[in-house]
Parts: sequence; C-alpha cells; structure tokens
Amino acid sequence: MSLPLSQEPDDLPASTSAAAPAGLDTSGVLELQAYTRRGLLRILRSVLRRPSALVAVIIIAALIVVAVLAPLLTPHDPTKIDLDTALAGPSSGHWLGTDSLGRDNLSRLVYGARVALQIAIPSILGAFVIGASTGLIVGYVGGAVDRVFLVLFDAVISFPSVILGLALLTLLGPSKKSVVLVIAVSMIPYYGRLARAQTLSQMRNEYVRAERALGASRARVLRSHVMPNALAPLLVIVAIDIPTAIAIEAGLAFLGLGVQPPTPDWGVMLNDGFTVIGTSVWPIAGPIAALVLVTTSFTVLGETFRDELDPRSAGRVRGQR
Amino acid sequence: MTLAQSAGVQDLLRIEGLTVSYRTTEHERLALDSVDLSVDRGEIVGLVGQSGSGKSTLASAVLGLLPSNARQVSGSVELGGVELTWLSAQELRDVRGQEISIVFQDPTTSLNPRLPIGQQMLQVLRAHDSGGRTSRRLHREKSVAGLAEVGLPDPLRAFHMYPHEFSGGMRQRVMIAMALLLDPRLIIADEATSALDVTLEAQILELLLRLRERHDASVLFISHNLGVVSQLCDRTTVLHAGRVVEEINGRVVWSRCQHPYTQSLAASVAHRDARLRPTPTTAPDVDDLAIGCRFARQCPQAHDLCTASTPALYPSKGGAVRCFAYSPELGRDWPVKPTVTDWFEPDGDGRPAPGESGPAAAGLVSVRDLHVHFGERDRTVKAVDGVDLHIERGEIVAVVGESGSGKTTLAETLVRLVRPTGGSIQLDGRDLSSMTRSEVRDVRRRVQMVFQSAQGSLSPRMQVGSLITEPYKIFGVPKDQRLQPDEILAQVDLSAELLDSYPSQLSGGQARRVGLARALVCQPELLVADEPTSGLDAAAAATTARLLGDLRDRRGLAILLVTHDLSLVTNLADRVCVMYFGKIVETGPVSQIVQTPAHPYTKALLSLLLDPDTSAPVGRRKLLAEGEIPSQSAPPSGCRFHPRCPWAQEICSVNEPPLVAIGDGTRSAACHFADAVMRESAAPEDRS
Amino acid sequence: MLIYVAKRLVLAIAVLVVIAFLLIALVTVVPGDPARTVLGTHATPELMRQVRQTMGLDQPVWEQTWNFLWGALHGDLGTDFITRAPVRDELGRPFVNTLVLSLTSMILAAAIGIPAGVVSAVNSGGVIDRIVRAVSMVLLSTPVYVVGLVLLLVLSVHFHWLPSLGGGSFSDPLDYAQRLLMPAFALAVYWIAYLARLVRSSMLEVLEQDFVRTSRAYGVPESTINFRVALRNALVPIVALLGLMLGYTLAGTVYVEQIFGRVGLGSLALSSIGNRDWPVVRGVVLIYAVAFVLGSLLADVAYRVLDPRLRVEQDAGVFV
Repeated sequence: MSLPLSQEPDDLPASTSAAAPAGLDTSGVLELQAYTRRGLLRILRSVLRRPSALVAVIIIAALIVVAVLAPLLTPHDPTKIDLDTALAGPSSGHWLGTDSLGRDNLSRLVYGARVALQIAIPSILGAFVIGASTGLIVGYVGGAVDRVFLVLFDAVISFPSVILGLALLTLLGPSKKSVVLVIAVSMIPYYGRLARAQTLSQMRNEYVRAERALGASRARVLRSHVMPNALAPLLVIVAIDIPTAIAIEAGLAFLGLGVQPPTPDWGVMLNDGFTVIGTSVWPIAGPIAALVLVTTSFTVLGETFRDELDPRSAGRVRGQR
Repeated sequence: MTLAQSAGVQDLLRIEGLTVSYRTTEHERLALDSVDLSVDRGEIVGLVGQSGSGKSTLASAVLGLLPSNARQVSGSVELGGVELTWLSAQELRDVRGQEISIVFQDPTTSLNPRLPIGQQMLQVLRAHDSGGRTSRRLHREKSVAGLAEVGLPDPLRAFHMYPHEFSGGMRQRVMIAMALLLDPRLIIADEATSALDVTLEAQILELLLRLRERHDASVLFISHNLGVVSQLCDRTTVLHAGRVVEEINGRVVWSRCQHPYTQSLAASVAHRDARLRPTPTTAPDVDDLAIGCRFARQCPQAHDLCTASTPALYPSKGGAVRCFAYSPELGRDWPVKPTVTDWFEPDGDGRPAPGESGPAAAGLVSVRDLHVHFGERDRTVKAVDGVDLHIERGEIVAVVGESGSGKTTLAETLVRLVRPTGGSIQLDGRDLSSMTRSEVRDVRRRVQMVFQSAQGSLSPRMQVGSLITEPYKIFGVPKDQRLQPDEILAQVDLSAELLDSYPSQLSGGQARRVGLARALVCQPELLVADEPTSGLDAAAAATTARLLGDLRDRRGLAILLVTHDLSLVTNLADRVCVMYFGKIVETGPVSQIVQTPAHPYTKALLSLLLDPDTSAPVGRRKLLAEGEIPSQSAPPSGCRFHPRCPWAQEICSVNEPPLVAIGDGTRSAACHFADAVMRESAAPEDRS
Repeated sequence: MLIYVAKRLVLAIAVLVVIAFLLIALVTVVPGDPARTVLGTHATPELMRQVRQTMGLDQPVWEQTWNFLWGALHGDLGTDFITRAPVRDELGRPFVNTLVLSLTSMILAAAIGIPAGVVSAVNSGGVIDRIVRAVSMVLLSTPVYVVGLVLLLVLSVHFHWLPSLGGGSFSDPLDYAQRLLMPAFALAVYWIAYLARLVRSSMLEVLEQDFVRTSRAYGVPESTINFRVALRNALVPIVALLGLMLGYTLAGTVYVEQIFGRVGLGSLALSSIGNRDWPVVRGVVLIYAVAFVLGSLLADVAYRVLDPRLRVEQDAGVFV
C-alpha cells in the first residue's frame, strides 16, 4: 500500500510546494490533476505508443482474460490430488510440473489469477469508496471532526497490514470475504488521507471562493466543484493500487493467514512450495513469475501515465508492506 | 581570459542576425528571427515585447543557456568583440557572472531556499576564482560589502539569512548584489521589477541605476512595460513575435512611436482619458505568419501588401521601423502614417463626467466603521481597521494601496467571504447582519465579485458554457428569463467558439472576461473587481478596463475597483479611497485627488504615475516613499505612514490623525499636514 | 517550531491511545476466552472467574486500556499466558534480532539506493539512467516475500553460498552477520529501488528550479550545481524518510523472518496469534505501532528542521 502521507500539503505552507519531496507528499496526485482536461483518450493513445506500456497492458489484459476463462484454459482440475506424480518436473502433461500433492501447477496458477482478482478488485474499490468519501467530507467540514478522523486514520495506518491481517483474520476466520475486509480496512485510511489532502488543496484554490461569492451553497461547492477536482486524479491511483492488494492477499496466504488450502491461490502455492523448496522449484516458480509480472506491469502502466501527464516526474513510489 | 583586452570596440554587446528555434513534437518554431541588437558601453538599452515575443529567449541566448529543445540556427553574439557562440562550455561559464550577469523577475524562486544568501554569493565567487587564489575571508568581505551597497540594513546578519527571511523588495536587492558581485560589464535585467509593487519598483529601479553608474556597467533592460522602459532607457528595441519591429534612439516618447504595435503598447499605457479600441491581446502564432508582417492581422492600418510580403527594417527619424508605411518607396500608399490615436475609439473622449450619467444617485452600499481582524489575541492582524465607504448606484469607486493594505479584505467582506469583526454594512439601507437567510442569498446575487486570479477563480473541470450559466442554476432563474450562453459571452466581447473550452485553454484576458460574464449573468447591482487588470499585459488590461466602463455607462452598475494600478483608477473611477495599513488615508473625487493629493502617501503613489512624455527619468526624481509596508502584526505608533513619510514630524509618531474633511468638503484626508501637502501639490512642480 | 513539535506530539500520543484501545477491544470480541487458553478445557467456572479477575478481563475496556498503557509506560507488558513469564522478557531477544535486521536493511538501502539515484540523475536520459530506472521499477513492484524466496532459492538452495535457516547468535558474530546478510538484503531491495527513484526525481526536480537557472547564469560549475545544490536539496526528504522506513521495514520482517527461519518479533507474533496468547500479541503490535508513530513523528519534525523556510512559525500575516 502507499506510504503514509505524513507530509501532507496542508501541513506545509504553499511556498514549499516547489521543493516538496517526491513520494512523501501527494504531489504525484496533484500532477495527475491535468488529466481530464487533456482528454483521457488522447492520453491513453500516447501511453500505448510506448513499448513498455504496451507490454504491460498486454500482460494485464492477459491476466484478466485468464482469470475469466480459467475453467476453459486449464488442462487439469486445480485441486485434484495425484500422489503418484507428486513434485514432477515439466512434462507434456504438466507444463509447469506438479506440486507436493501431485496437483497441476499450471492449472493452479491460472485459477490463482482468478482468486487474486476476486479479492483485489472488490477490496480496492470498497476501500476507495469508503475512504475517499470520508476524506472528502472530513476535509471539507474541517475542525474537530477532521482531527478525530486524522487520529483514527493514523491509528489504523500504524498497524502494518500484516499485523492487522493477523488480528482481524483470527477474529473473522480465514475466508475470501475476510481477506477482502482486511485489505479494505488497511487501505481505507490511505485513501481517506489522500482524499482529505486533495480536498484541502482544492479548497485553497480561488475557484472555491469564487463559487461561494457567486452565491453557491456549501453543499453545491462540495458536490459540483470540489469533489470532481479532488477525486478524479485519485481514480488513476486506484487502478495502480490493484497489484498492492494482490501482493497483500498472496502475502497473507503465504503466511497461512489468508485464503486457505486447497484453494488454488498464488500465496497458498508459495506456502506449499516453500516447504519443498529443497526438492523442486516448480511449485513456486509459477506464482513468483506471475506476481513479479503482474505487479511490475501495473507499476509500469501507472508510471507511464504519470510521465505522460508530467514528463518531469519520475514515479510515485508505492510501498507494499 | 579577459575580454577587456579587446577594448576599443565601440559596442559592448553586439547581436547580429540571431535566429533561435524551438523544437516541438511536430515542428520547429522560430522564437527569434534575425534579431539585431547592440548595447554600447555605459548605455541602458530597453527590450520591449509581450510575453511570447522572444525577449527571454534572447536573454538565454546571450548567456548561452538556451533550453535543450532550443537551437541557435544562425547569427552571432559578441561581447567586447569576442564571439560568445564559439566559446567552450568552460569559457562561457567564465563569462557568466563575471562579464555578464542577470537579474531575474522573481527573486523568490531565483534564490536557493535552503541556502543562506551568503553561501550562494560565495558559490558564485568561488566559481570565478580559478585555483582558489582568494581567501575565503576576502570572498566573505566582498559579499558583505555587496549586501551593504544595495542598502540592506544589517549586511553581516543578512549574509547568514535565508531568502525567505527577506521581504520581496529586499530579496530583489540581494539579487542585484549578486549581479554586481564580480563587476560585470553588462547587466541583463529580465523583467527585474515586474513582480514588485509600484513603490518598490521605483526603489529598485533607482538602486539599479545608481549602482550601474558606480560599477560602470551597461544594462539590457527587458520588460513588457513600455512605461518603465521609457523612463529609463537611452535606446529601445521593440520585439514582436520574434522580430524587431522598431528601434528607437533616445528616450521613448509616446507620440513619436512609429510602428502600430509600439503605438498600441503606448496607447494602452499612456492615455488615461480616452477610450481605447480593443488592442491585440495575444502574441500571434509565428508559424502562421511565415510571410508578411506579423502584426498585419491586428493592425488598423494594414493593407493587402502587409500580408503578401515581409517588410524590412526601414530607417526613420530617431530609429528604424519594420512597417511598409515608412518604406521610402512603398510608404506612398500610406499618406497618413499610423499614429497612437489609431487606437482610440472613434467617439474619442466620450466618457461622461462622473455623476452625469446613470440614474439619480442613491446610496447603494454604506459601510460604517468596518473592522476585520485576523488571528489570535496576541498576534492580531488588523487587516481592515475602521473603514467608512459609500458607493452610489452607477458609480465606480476605487480602493488603492500597496499589497498588504487591506484592500482585498475589504472587498471580500462586501461579498461576505470574510466575516467582519466590527462595524456595519448596509445595502439599500438594510443592515446585512439583520437579514434573514433568504435575504442574504439575495444579497449574494446583487453583489458579485471578479477575482484577482482570472484562471484560478474558474472551476477547472467545467467548460465555459456551464460556467457562465451556473448562476442561473444557483439562483433558480426560470428558463424563460435566461439568456442564451452565446448572448452572455457577447456581453463581454467573447465569441461563442469558447463555449466548449476549459479554463486552462483560455488566455488571461479571456478568463477574466468569462469571470466577468459569470458575475453579470444575474444582473448584480454592485460589482467588486479585485485587481481586474493584474496579470494581463497592457493591451488586455486596456480592453478589460474599457469593458468595465461600458458596464457602468450602459447598465448603471456600481463598481468597487480594488487595485494598485493607478492609471486604471484615473482612467475609470469616479471616486478613490487610498488605503494604507487597514485605514483609509485619503478619499475624494479622482480628478481632485490626482491634481492635488493631500496625503503624503497618495502623493508618493501618484509621483510614480507621471506623464511619460514630460516627466523626468527615474533616478533624477525624488522618491517620495522610502521602505516597505511594515510588519502586519506590529503597526507603527501614531500615523502608520510616518516611518516612510518625508513630511513626518514628532507629532506623527504620537498622534494618529483622523480622517477629516478638507478643501471644499467633497474630500477628506488623514494627515496632520494635509493642507501643506495639498498646497505643495498645487504649486507647479520643479522638474529640473 | 516548538509549537509544531508539541502539536505533533499530542497527535502521536492520541494515535497510540487509540491503538491501545483497539488492541484491547479486539481481544474482547475475538471468539475464545483468554482464560480458557490459560487453563485448558477442563477448568471449573469458579477458577475461570478468578483467572479473569487477575487478568483484569472483568474490567470495562477503557479501564483495561488505561491499565495496559500505564503498565507499558513502566515497562510492564503483562504476563505470557502460556509460559507465565513477563512479556517484556519474552520480547527482549526477538526485539533485538528484529531491530538489527531492520537497521541493517536500512543501511544497505541507503548505501546502494542513494548512489544509484545520484548516478541516474546526473546521467539523466542516458544508458545508466535507463538501466537504473528499469531495474528499480521491477524491484519496486516485487513483494518482499517473493524477493526473499528468490534469494533463498538462488543463494542457499542452488549455490549453497549462504546458510538458509536460523538467525545465529551474538556469541558467534561472524556467523550472525553472515546469516543477517540475506534477510537484510531481501528487506532492503524495495527501499533500494525506492530511494534510487526518490533521489533521482528529487534531484531532477531541483535542477529545474529557477534558482538553478540563477546559478548557471552566474557561471557556477555543473558539479557544484549537481552536488552542492541538487543533492543537498534532494537529501532533505530522504533524511525525513528514514523515520518512516523504520516502521515499514519492521513490518516487513514478518515475512522475512518466516522465510529465513529467524527468531524475531514477526515470527513471535505469528506463533502467538496461533496460540491466542494475547499479552504477547499486544506487546508485539504495540512495539510495531510505537516504532511507526515515532518514525513518522521524527520524519515530520526532521522535515521542518531541515527546511529553513519551515523552521520559523508561520507569520500571522497570512490570511484566510
């Protein structure tokens, strides 16, 4: 997930924006501000003109296709145990070999993509809807409400997502739903703080005062002016955060806390394969490659978007812990 | 390498045929097209042009600091006979700072915020001290001496201070100290005073000129403001769309400008009593105009010839002009040469005298003893401190003062963006504080505001069409009473083509007018205009001013004009209030106050607004207001102006003078010596 | 400045109180009675009640929170349900191990990441820059456990260069260091990439500022501009970042300790959660949270101290 935004723009006077640190503040978000004004389509077109971004898009598209069509693509049942062929290397029957219980690694990998997206997409969307709307309102209302929520956000952020996961999953029992909840809860404060910072920076703009002077009510200013300007740039970030959710999900499963065996999941596969790492690399080779490819593709894509919007910036860096 | 060896050459800087192009994704764009320019020893040469004319590119080219996407196509830049274009990177670096130095527009961003200014000066000294022969101590002494020379009160302390610890004017002094550090022979001032208030601008110009003489340096003074240049420069070159359009030897005299473009600049700055026709507001796209005069499209005197062929620079009396009207052969087609008056409206000085037009005067707004204080108990800032103000219907009242005088706060209080901490505001005799919610809503409709930052005050994700019809939605105006969007735009002289544009696609002048259109849609009775011309170049500013005047004349709209631009005030307003430090120090009809200011502060402001054709140049003029506005949280005792006032006596630091009626009773001033100041103002000024 | 630090301190304390409250509240809603954990399945109701009382479980949540915080302030984190030892003693060794791991990874990250970023920025657009950017992009995206597994696979399983399991002990410093290397590096990889990119982008951002144009216009050499001006300005956010890194690397140790079989806070948290040994879990989580809160506090304060413009209290003259 993203780094804590402890250097929010509202903590600093406007004059520091020139030398504000990249990665420590929301400058990356602010730079995305331009994007609807240039037209999303035009930007997309120029993003796809770059080879690296094109490859990334193809990989992400492949991930989605594979996840949707998993049953049609897999040669074997991902949970069918066949101890006779356990820990076999690649063969024509099992392209990526088999795991310690003789299950087909490739089939498990393909179904794993499905599990990954099933968890990542709802958790990120949920976190965004809740976090962003809270941050927006809290930032607009200000005062004591704002301070209370800042403390709450900070408190949740201070639990590393792993630890939060440990605690909540023990409470809820491991299931896909619980994992979605854990990831959502750990992301909400980030979106909350981002949206709050965005709202505050929007409210410093003269157009907000101009609208008030024109006679618009507070509700109208928030709804018609502050909200679109504050949240639109965050939408891109939400898309870029999907691999963060995938990484947390697989990480929890790897620690044995998330999705449970025998569900075909990349983290579960890593956990299984880790115990036999001295014997065969094939059970973990697939999920490792898949995780690296998918997360890097999303990062490359997000990066290219930013470069396209602001050629000077060299990348909003995202944490994953 | 010392360039002094090649002495004997008359010109210090000689630019010949300089052509610079920028590479964009699609094509190459010419920023400078065969520009010739020279600066002699000891000379001050002006370079005037709108933004986009290429004047900053020229400065970069001279310093060898063109951006990476720019290319010097041809031409030469010689300094003291040495061709700079051929120098190696190392040799060029030696020239920069030592032979040529530059003062940039914005001292806030031009100094490293994280380094004390002394360290920054040492960096420059060390860069030109090959082999480190000079001791650190000597460098230090030299820097401190430099800071003392530009008038910093405590140079030793200043040496260790960070840029943000200085005020804007002091920061620009620091920049000048850096520029003079190595006794350069040429100083380029790139819009060096454009970011400053008028009184500061005069101080900095005066300082620059004084030090230039002492250091025996030449100055290339780059500015968009023909007014400043005319008071300063021995010769002036006017740049338009990358080409030199006029060269003027000697001081610029408005009436003798020859090129229509120069005349448009002159007309928009100089003439306060006449109404101007719309002057060109944007620099043309150079690519569209490969052939022909680049000003032809905007020129009132243009013939077919002007777009068919490119004029040369024809010698003329007092300089050279790139206009066919002055060509020895082709000039016959122009029996009447272009003049400044081409830019005046046909009906000339048709401005009705104040009070003549409009409905019978009836008090619209009445402000009594208004106070607006900010901050906590111990560090209260009294932004507005007991102000009385009356505005009649159809009247334009100007509030002038330097930044920090509280004029913007006063304006925002009227549109209820800022809550007053004391006093009353009445609209049509009804006190705002006693109004119900729905009445307050109605007040918002009746009192509208145009904001200082034209683009920033428009919601960035809305198209112009939605922006200008938004007030209808806010106030629930029935459909049949609404104007069509294109009609709304037509009211402010904008074409319907802009309806689908976003604010970021508008020029400064267009954005300002969209803001104006929004404010006017619901037929307000009072318009509060905060610095309506700031950020606009002279031409766009003139157009905006004309529009405001029209609104008053046609609709009987009352306008509160908040500005520091005195020429706008004299051009437009009926009455003026001069604010200093939260208080009104002088108020009355514009015509009277301009003639005979009774408060020293007013007099100081007006002294900066002398008629360019007759006034003495900067530097030979008495500066009437020293220093800057003191800190907000620690106002001076007694009269708040006394530390800067040349008339100040002992009483001024003890007793605060009240605002009392003077003269025939239509005006008042807050000064112990108002009568004396007024008498001196009335006496013919000594202009030696 | 002092006012700012005080305000920031109040915020940090408030956050810690909320965290403590959440920790206590969480235990009370988790299924499974802690007293049952202590006593086993066959305890009498009478005994259960007694144990609950001694553990303070019969008090309201806010009172438990208070007792917990008050105890923690005096170094008392409660008693381990299972071993009956004070939690503070249980946490000692693992805490040192984990802290050493975190700090080592931070040093590695700074030692590799910052120079990489400088080289990249100075050669902006060149081959080295492209390589640094591409590599850092991949490393930045790769989850820490994947990095750990790959390192383990390559360096231990395949080449047998480094020992794979266990953390060693201080009595054998060489072995301890050797065993520290791989986990610390695994933890550092993300931050190497992060720092490289941050240094690069900060430096390039500084190089575009107007005051760099001023330096160039006055003939200051490029080397001075690159290092004295750009790097100096770029290091400010990085020094501030170190505080935050501590919190994040600590969290990352959960994975790394699991993979490399080290004894530490992370592995302790994992095992005690499985055992529902709440006092230990609470203790571990509190350490994480304190590290995090303290880190971001230091980051914010450092940021103010290092930026001369922010050192002074904002002038009251700024309206609105």
